[in-house]
Amino acid sequence: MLFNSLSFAFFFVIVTLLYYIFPHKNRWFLLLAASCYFYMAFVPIYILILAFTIVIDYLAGIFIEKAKGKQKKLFLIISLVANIGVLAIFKYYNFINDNIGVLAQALNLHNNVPYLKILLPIGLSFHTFQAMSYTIEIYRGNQKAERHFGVYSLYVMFYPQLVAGPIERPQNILPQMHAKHEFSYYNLVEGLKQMAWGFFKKLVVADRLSIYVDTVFPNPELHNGSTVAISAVFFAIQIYCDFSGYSDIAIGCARTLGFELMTNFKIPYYAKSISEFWSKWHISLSTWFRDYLYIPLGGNRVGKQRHYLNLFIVFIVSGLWHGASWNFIIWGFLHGVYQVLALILKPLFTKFETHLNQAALSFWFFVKGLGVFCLVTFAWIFFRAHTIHDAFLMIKNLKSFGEKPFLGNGVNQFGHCLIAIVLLLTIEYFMAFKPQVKLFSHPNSLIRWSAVLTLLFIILIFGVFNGGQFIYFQF
Amino acid sequence: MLNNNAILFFKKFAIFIVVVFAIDWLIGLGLQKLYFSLNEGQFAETTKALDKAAPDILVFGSSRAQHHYSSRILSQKLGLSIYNAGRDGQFLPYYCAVQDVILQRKTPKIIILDVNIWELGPNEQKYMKLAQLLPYVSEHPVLRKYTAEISEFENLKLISKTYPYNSTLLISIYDHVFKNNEPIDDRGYTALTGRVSETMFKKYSAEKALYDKKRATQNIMIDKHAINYYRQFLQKTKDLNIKTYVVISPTILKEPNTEEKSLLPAIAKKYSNVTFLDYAVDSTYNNHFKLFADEFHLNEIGAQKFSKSLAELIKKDL
Repeated sequence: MLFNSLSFAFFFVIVTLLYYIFPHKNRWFLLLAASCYFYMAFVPIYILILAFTIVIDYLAGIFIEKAKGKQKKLFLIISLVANIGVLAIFKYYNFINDNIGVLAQALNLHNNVPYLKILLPIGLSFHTFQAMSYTIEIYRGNQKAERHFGVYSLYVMFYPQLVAGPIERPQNILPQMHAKHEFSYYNLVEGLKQMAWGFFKKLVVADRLSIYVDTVFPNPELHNGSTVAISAVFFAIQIYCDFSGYSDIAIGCARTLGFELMTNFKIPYYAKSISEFWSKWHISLSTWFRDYLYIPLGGNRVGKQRHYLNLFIVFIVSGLWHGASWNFIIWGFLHGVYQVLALILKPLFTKFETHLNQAALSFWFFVKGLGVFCLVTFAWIFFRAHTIHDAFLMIKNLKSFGEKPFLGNGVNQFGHCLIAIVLLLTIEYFMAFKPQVKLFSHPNSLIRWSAVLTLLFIILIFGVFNGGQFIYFQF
Repeated sequence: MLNNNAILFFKKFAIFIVVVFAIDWLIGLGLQKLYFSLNEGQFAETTKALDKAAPDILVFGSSRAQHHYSSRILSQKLGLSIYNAGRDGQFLPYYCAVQDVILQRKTPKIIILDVNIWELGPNEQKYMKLAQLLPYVSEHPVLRKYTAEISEFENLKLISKTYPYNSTLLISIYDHVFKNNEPIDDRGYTALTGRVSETMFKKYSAEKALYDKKRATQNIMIDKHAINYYRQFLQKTKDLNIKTYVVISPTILKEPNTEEKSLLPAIAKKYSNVTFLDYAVDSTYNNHFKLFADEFHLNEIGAQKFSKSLAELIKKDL
């Protein structure tokens, strides 16, 4: 079930109403049943995969807590193998097989291992990572094992964040699953407003830009440098609005039920450095990798070269997390390169910045911000292109930058794209630099209502209502 | 259970809903006026096709129909009235919807259906683009079955008066403010000025060769739903005994005979009232880039040449 569908609107209203009507002790059951229904609206049979990992991790959690010494580690390994095994089969099997095939061909050998004709279960990487964080935290002694099987199942399946995050930690969400949430006018209203903001990003910006992007990326051989540059910028904005829009709807939706999910995006394209970008982009995944991969590898408390290697490992794994394709690996590798370069250049930049006055410093930060956006956008080309060949073709086509670009369906399409971007940048500018304005939570009710109504009618007049899939569902 | 906090919420929410519907009605009314007061542009042409057109010859298709079939030449040569209902970026579901509406009003003598070679290929947009019909649903309820294809519960969304005019504001304002510089024909046809240069043609030829090579290796899924629409369109012309021409109009390069393309004549052959004409392999037009305004469309000179030749052919059948 997609957030941007009328089916979800009915589902949301019914579940929220029932939630507050149900007595507290039965609410877990309502939310679990609703989450199962929500998930089964995609491919019903895949609920069995979720059930498998839920049972394994639930038992593993209890055994890890009870066990001592090596046994503790053994149960953790069983849990991790089960989770990563499911990921490996459904997400990486064909990719690995493909690459073995290429290697075998190069060695004049035959690879007779068959391909699996299976669809990737929706949001698999998200709920698998959330499940893994549960057993790891119990192993580390930061979390007690959940004894209530229904509540644990809900921890993995809570419908607002089930298919595209935020990837929660047990310490934050499990206590909330047990707590009694009284009806709160404030939470409900603020939750609905955050959902509206998410719908704006998804329907007005992301889905509008996708019309242009989806025309250019599949056929790079037909487009010149100007068109490639525009489509890359459009995709950078599209993926931000698509994913952060989803997160806003998920967080808002959970808030209407009294749950507080972690912030997943903090206006990342206003970042002035690549490390700042990653502290503001998909925060729940970045912190997951930091806590469970980067720090265990030694983080930055190792020699310089090992530190750089750790960064490369994290970003390449992050690329692979997104998808089983060389495109994503290159995307991750590029971000690894950016991180290392940023570390190398940091002393130089810091020294340079001490010589600048306030005005020059502001301009310098603007240039740095623009540079970060360009680097991130360049990497997105690999992320979005169908094949590596397509990505390189697009980059090659950039040499004809300056030729008349493809403007889609003229005023209607391109004009709407520009309006969407201007609206987004304006509102986010206020959010980032003038937070005191608080249009949607202004103390004056007339201003507050007008702001919310304006947002709703902008969605209705300029939104794209074709039920476009969220990009991150495929991960 | 519900407490005072909840009662306050529901009270305010009820007020909010009333305000939303009131504003929706007002904005919808404004957008409706803006939309239906247009005299030129694609919205005005759609209104003419759906609300007024009742000619002897009807042309259906996408932008290639709109720019390739000169109403003046066809009308003069055949001595019959004509309307060109071709619309930019549209596909078979749209042609069927417009055919349904116009044929309720008048049965034409001749129908020309211009089809693209990728008409039966996969493209979700062909159903999304039926949203262009939303402003007309209240006047022509027959369109509901087509608009239902856009998304689940699509017709339920029409409870909003603003929603049918979604994404129309910008172009409505544009068409009111800026006048069309292209030659105007009030019978739907729009001539394209400009000409493909030799450099552009060479570049496009190279790009197209790459594209065809890639597409030849892809497993193109045939859209069975689109085939049903194609059959529905042709069946309707057969039921009403309308002489029908299904035409792939001229293309700048010779088009390969893909499965999706070869299905077009194969299906048309089953209808005795239908003549299928393929100009995508006609050397009179292929590679003659001076007859084209861009990679996909004939310019005015090309359209005149094509329309004359088509009129001669139809005349022989009359």
